Amino acid sequence: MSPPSRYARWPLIAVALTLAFLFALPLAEASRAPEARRAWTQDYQEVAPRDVAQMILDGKKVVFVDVREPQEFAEKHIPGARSVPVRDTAAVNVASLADADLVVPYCLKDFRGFEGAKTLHGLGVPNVGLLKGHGIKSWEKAGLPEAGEDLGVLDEEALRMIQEALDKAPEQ
Amino acid sequence: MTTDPRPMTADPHSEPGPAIRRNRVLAVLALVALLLLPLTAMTRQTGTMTYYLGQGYPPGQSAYIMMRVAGHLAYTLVFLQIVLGLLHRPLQRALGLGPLLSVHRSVGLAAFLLALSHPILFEWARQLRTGQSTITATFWPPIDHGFYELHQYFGAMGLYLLLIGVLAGVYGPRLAPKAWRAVHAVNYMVFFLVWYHSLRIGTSTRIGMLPVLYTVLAAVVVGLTLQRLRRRTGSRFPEGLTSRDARR
Repeated sequence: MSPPSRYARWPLIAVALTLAFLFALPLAEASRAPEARRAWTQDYQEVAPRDVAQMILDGKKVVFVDVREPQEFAEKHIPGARSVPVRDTAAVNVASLADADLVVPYCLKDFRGFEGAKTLHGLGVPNVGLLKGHGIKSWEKAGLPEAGEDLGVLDEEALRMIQEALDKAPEQ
Repeated sequence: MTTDPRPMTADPHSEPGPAIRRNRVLAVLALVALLLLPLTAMTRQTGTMTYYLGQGYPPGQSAYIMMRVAGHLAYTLVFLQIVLGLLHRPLQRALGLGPLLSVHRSVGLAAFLLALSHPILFEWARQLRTGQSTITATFWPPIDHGFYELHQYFGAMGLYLLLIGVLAGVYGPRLAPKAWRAVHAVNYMVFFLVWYHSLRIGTSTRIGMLPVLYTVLAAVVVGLTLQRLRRRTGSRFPEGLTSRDARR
């Protein structure tokens, strides 16, 4: 068996330094004061799913941007949402969102959703918000209807389903 | 049988010639490019990492971003350790270095540590965001919950097989040569599972030229593996002979 190279240590030293870097930021984040954890809401709205649903029924222009993969979008999505994978959010037509009362990028837990929100906010899209409770999971938890491939638009049927969901007692 | 007159290992204390110096510079440049290209492409979508030094993001977002960095680096190191395993002798000669097999082993261990940090950071991000533990779903994703979870599962399988491959590399000399080679070969499966996982649900693996880069890396691994298999078969059965001839 060949003797160990004097370079064999380098990858392990490099990875130790990299791991220290990778874990340092989340450690700093986890040690923040509770009020500092809410600082992001100065730039982005945080709206409860049922409040968003009520805005839709009130005739407000709410645009959902589903930033997940197209295959995930095909499985289920919020009725009327546009499918724009997060890597393509920088290429959205900003003019089409300029008059929206609320633009809501979302994914499963809004990790990608926030990245999409950040990009849209940076492009100058006003009224960018995220769902309280995080992503499509919070929409589901609120008992609001979801669409598959067959119910992609926010039509009468979808509005009726949203109204029915809001008429029910809120999910605890 | 022909013998290669060139020494298997260069004397690390001797002064390297201009060709070796050039090869070393090229190797370092290739390594840096390979590690930094994915991260550069990622910043096109996320912005620079300095953003996450501030406080303007929801809980867990920094852990999520670091999880993506760890994934890119782990994939690159899995590629690198496979190339070092297949080409350690030609690389020793080209770079005028001592034995590189031990570097191959430590790169494998480094790849495993980074690959392990990928789901750990993801789980941490989820816990910071939701306040709930999702350890089972992170480390053993359900395959029947849809597209995302299914492709997470491929990544998880890649991680566990990588652990087996690394252990086979570390404890290889204690096992029978055929047995450890067979076990160690799971690293090829790891590479393709991770490749598929990253290309299907990796958030930044399809930005710009990254799909091309990742596909080229996969093609390099396939090409080198086929070359190794052909050479091994060729050395066992010289031209014109078959396995039946060899048994006579």
